[in-house]
Amino acid sequence: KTNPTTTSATVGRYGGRIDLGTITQHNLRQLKRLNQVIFPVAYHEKFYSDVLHFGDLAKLAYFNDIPVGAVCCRIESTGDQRRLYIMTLGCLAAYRQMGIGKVMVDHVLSICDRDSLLEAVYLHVQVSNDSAINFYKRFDFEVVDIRSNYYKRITPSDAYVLQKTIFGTPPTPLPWPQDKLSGVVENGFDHEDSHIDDSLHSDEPTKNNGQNCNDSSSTQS
Amino acid sequence: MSSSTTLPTKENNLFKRILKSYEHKQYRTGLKFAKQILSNSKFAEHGETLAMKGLLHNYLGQKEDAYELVRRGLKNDLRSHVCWHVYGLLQRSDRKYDGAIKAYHNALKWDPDNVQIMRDLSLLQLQMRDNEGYCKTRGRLFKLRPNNRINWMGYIVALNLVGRYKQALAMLEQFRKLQFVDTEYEASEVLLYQAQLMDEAGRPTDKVLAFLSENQERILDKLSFLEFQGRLLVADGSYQRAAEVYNQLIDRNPENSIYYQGLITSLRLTSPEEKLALFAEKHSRYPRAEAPQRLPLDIAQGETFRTIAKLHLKERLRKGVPPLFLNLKSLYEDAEKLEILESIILDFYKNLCSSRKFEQSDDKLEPPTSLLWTLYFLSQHFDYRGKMDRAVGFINDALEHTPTLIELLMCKADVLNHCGDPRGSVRCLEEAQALDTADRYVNCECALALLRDGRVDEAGVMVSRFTRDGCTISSYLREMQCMWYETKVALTEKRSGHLGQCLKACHEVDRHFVEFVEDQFDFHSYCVRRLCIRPYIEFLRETDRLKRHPFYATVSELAVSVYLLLHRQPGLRDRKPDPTPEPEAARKAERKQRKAAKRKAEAERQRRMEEERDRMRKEQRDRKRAVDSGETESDAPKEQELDSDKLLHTETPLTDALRFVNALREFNPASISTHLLAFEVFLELGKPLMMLQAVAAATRLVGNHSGLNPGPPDISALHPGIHRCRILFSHWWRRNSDSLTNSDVSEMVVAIVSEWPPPYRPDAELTQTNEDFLTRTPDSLAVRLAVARTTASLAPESGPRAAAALLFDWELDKVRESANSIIDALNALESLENGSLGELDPSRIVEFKCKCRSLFPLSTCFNADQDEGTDDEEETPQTYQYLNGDYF
Repeated sequence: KTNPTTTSATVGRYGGRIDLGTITQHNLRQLKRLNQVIFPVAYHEKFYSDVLHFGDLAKLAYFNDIPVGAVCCRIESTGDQRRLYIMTLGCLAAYRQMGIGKVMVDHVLSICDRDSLLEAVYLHVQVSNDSAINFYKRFDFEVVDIRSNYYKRITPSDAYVLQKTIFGTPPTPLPWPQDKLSGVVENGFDHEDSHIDDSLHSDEPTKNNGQNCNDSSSTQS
Repeated sequence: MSSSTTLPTKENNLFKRILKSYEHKQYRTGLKFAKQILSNSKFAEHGETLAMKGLLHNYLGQKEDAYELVRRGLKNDLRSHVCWHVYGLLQRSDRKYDGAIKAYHNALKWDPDNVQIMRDLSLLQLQMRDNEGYCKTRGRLFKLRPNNRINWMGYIVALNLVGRYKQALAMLEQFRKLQFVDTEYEASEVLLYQAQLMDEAGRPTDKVLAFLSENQERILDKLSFLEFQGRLLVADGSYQRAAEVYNQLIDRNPENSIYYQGLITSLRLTSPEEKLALFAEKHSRYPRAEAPQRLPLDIAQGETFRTIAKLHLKERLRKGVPPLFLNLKSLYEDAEKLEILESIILDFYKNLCSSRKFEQSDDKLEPPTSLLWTLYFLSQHFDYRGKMDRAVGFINDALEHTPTLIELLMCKADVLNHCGDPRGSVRCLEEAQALDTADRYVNCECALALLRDGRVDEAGVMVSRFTRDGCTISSYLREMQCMWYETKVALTEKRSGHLGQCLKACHEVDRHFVEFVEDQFDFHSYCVRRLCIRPYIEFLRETDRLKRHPFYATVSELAVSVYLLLHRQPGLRDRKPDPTPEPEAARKAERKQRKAAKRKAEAERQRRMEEERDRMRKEQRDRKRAVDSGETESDAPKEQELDSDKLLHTETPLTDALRFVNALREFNPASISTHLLAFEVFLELGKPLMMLQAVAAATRLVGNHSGLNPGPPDISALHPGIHRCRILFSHWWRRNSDSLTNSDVSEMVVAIVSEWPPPYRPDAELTQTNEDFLTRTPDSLAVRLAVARTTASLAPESGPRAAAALLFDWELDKVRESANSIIDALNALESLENGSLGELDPSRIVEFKCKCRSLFPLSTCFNADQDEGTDDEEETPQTYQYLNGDYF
């Protein structure tokens, strides 16, 4: 009932079934509610009305038929360069380490497979968000830039720009923050699913007071 | 037709064209021809033409002209079967069936062999359940036209209905020989009908079975065949064959629990172990079927039950089966099973929290949804047990775990509603509704919650999201016969004191039931023509039982209680419902902030209402236009819109109530409120024997003090409603027995009443009896209300003050300990508010609400300020986070 338009299901951890589903005007509120709970920043109404027209670029993730996560991307063109930008990707705390994040990233990468003009996939992540950084590393993302004061209302306010280059010359990668890498591996606890908090990269940290700080659209290099 | 006798050829041809136009529903064309005949001064008063003209006017919606013309036509030609037939048709179209039947009979007097009239007559006779008359008419039709299979089958059905089985069977036998059937399926149906008829006629079971076996090949409806055969075989004692049949049936559909019962009977299994073994076998054969897994839970006891239940729960919690609790709820009537289920589920919860497993011995870890569904089950479990803070705690935990699962929000809405927080309930459902706006079920639930919160207009706006465009909500719901909604509206409006609106909703539902009976017309000829007789006969019998439906019972009870209020307090008609009493000063500041938001919401609501009104106006215009242009050609008379004001200002509330009372007595005799309400109506009508009949019926239902067996006068065990009835009867009798002229009645009354316990007899100190009743059960609000109402009835002048006092005079702690429901408290509140316990100072009502609030701490429905909490999203949950102790 909850999920009429799923792609073929993946079996996640503990035998849970993971599907992706289309976002429609009828279940848009589910996306809002998920983002509200998962991310520390609020998104503007326009973000949600746009999402309805994104097609495959925005998906809800279902775990055993319950909506528990979502991914929203957009395509950015600057000059002759086309890149896929992941605006949000995250799932509810109780459902992390189930393999849902992987299904969502795989989905994003499959878009690149189909669209041969896409040069790269990139995103912002808060510098303190170790688990997200490690999560994306497993998909061969590289740190290509650091943006100071990227986030307006959360600290630390700096963000890494993570990028996975599909073709063309990749920018020179910055070294991965060493201490963080070792930390998680040593943790020994579910490192396979280190995308806990794969949440804090949003390029539109609009705030509750309704002001749209859309400055980040200029962050593309 | 014999009409031609008085008209020359030219006019006669015109007349025939009128008839033709009528048959083709070209009413205006028909009128033109009629005008041509009537404009000839020689035929200006031609009866049959006038009658036909009237009939045409009727279908164009001009009722008055129609009756005028038809009557004039009839007067001019009393010997014309056409005129009588038309008169019958006219009355039939107005649902005056008795009159129509008389007219048809008159028509047949002048044309005894007119098949058309006979057919029309037979339909009405059946509709009125004049089975004998129907059988007679059908018999004549059969004799007149024996070549028509409809006449055969019509007569057979009629014979069946009046119980002349022998003749019916003989005819059916003949019917089959005459090769009337067109298709194999028709033949199959006729055979099954014959078998059913044989069974109904009481033919020996082995004969019926033999008949079925003989024709097995030709019976195509295998399911009906097997079900029928299985039933007969069990009755016949042929258990072995019966078992084979039931095994076949289970093979066809392993979910039907009746088949398992049949199989158990056939195999003569008695011990639980044998039955469980059978279910285990069936489960291994049909691993996906639910019934062989669920039914063992009904049978198993003790530790066996624990083992099965554990597995049952585990699988379903893992899979995520939303109605799991609902499916198991019936087990909760068994106190032992309830305890076992509770311990299992609490264990599961503990283990899931600590180690991600249902049980320590499990080898696999559970996905997070297992914990989620466990929390969901726990909340429903404690809700059922009335441990509200635990129910709230678990559902809040679940929502924190997964805020996007709609079922959780619906569950929380239920829990809050049971806490007496309809507003919070609405908030949950509004969120649920927003999460999936394409889900009509959630939408309906949300509308229901709004109604429970007394917000009728908003509920309308909510359901309108799914109603057709360009159609008002109320007319759409009426057209769709949406009774769950209308019934709830009636309940809500009564609670809010809008008695006219309540009556309107009640009558809407009543009209639907009239409509259902009307709808039979479509089937009388169709079913017989298509030879689907078995379902048809079942349908006829079911229609006669329709008013047993809970919707009908609910609105009938509501209507009767409203009419009683109107009779006893005529002033209520003109009382505008009070605006909610002024809130305390402390709340005022808080309130101000909300006002802005409220104004906005109100504006939005106004806008929607405005749209609704526009639509309504448009609809009326359209309807009018359609009538004017003769586009509406429906046979049904256009119903007048119900007017709540008119209903409210009825001159005869008791007579109006009587109709509903009689329906309740006929269709709901097993409900005690039927008889308690009937008593009140008969009391007001001054009918002592009917009153006593009602008391006796109610007493029989409750089971003690049957009147025949005096027993020890333990009045504390008496139902408070019966207590009230007896006191009011004796009180009435004391004042009215002298004026009674019929001594037989007096004697009967005296004889019956002398069987009552002495404190209830007319010579007793009734006020004292009433007070004593309260002393014995002082902590039940229902008893308090019954006693208070009785006090008010016993002494209408001084009573009210004393009566109302009874509702305040309780000790919180003690009342809390005895089982008082929120409904009891709301009923008491309603009685205080509608003035049936006398006019009260508004501050007293606020005081009563305060007391109720302390009694039901999670409730908001007793808040003095009704508007409170409209926009405080975060208000309640924090305080009642899951508490690990047992608080009740």
